[in-house]
Amino acid sequence: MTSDRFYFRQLLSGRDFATEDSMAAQMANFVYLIGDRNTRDAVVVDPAYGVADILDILDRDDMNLSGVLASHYHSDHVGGSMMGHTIEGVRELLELRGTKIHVQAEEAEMVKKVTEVSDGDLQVHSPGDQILVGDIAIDLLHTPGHTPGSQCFLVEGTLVAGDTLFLEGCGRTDLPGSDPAAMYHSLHHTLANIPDDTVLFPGHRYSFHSSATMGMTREMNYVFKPDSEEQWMMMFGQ
Amino acid sequence: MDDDVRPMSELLSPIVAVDDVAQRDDIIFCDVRWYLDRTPGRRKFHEGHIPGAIFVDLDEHLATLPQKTRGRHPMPAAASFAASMGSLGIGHHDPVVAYDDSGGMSAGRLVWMLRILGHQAALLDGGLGAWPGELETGPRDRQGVDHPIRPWPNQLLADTDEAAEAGMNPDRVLIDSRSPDRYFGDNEPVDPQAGHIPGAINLPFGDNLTNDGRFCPPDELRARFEKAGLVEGDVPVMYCGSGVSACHNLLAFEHAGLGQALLYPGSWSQWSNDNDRPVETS
Repeated sequence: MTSDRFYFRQLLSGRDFATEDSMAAQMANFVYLIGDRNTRDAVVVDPAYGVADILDILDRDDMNLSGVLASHYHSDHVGGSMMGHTIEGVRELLELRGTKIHVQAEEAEMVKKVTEVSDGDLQVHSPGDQILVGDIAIDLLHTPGHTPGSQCFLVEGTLVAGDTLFLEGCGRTDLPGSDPAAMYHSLHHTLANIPDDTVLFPGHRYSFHSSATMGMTREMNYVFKPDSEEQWMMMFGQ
Repeated sequence: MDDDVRPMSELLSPIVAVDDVAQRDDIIFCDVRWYLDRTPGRRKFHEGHIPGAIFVDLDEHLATLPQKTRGRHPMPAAASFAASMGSLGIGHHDPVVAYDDSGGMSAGRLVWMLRILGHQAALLDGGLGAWPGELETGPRDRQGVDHPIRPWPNQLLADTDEAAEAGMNPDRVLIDSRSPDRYFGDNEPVDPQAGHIPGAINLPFGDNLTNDGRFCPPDELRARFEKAGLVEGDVPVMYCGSGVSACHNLLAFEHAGLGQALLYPGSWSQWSNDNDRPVETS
């Protein structure tokens, strides 16, 4: 059940911010703002491309930034340099507003490497940690597979999933650091108990719709078709 | 009650005349044109729309993925709908007036969805054709805004079992809002079986309109429902092909002063895909 004080916004890169950035539009990343309307605290999930635009949106909503949640280290989610591209992200955001970046322990080194932030900028978490934004509780679910320290955020009946799960398909498991078997475990075990009426908010707009219930996603998404790790590895193993 | 809700005197009725809203600068006009033949509504929007209006996509913003087990236009999750409205630039306190070019057939869905969440929303009587001035062309977007998540009021939504029960229970009323040829099963352009849910009465949404495409006055709308056998206090269940044009009847019902009724969102597109459900053609 959603509380009246739950502040939640889904922002699409190239449309809702970084509107002049063609790469932002092509990549179709979703950034999320999550907070507590009463205390006016908010965190931003995966700030990249136009971080000043994202902060402007928070300011217009009269919300105060109290942290950054990083779903994983790829530069389209946290900024930095990767595969020949340099994208604005958490480093530039920290220059504008001092705050902490919440990462899974297994992702910390790569976040530092890609974004050039320091140890002191990171709040390192273990699987199952919970953080409070005002009085809104966010569960950090460690869901490796796309990257070793990928995490999803479960809050007030929504699942903000980064690149772990899309409405159709899941994050790539053929990249350096990816692990198809870990992805199977994340989708079919770690996320198995997420209720059907929880709404999946993915890290990219790769589908016509921008969100869908987990129940519908489990019925429609082919990544839930394999009913064993063996079948999964035949489909997704390298 | 929120302190910034508009005073009652300014509450929008379900159907509004263009003269009553054209000069109001607080209203967001929403173009909800949609066509069963898949003509893109957004293209029509670009060709000409009410100045300042934004385009709302029935399939994208007002429904989730079509499924045989849920129908062609299932209701989106409350969080999905709130995210869509926010991305379109519609805040919870922004009054909305929606229109299309089909008598309100598709725009009614947005109006009904917003109204059941307590949002000020109305259908523009006469639709796009009623607009007296020049139209604007090209794209038009609003800056996104915060739109709080409000749960759907489940007491206004019927599932398949409740629709079946409403048809069979003599104390309840089930209304099929489609055209008579689809109701009687003489023609079925889109769904796998032809006919209607047993016990449903047929009140085509188009009969809410006069020959010039405007809504009948409230007393005539009321007489129409009463002639069909509804009595004061009845809370019918309404359906159509996919929970869209039934909203036209739901708004007409409210405009007639009869209150709120229930929508069966799955409608015929869900019922007719279930071979275990009986089909009536008389």
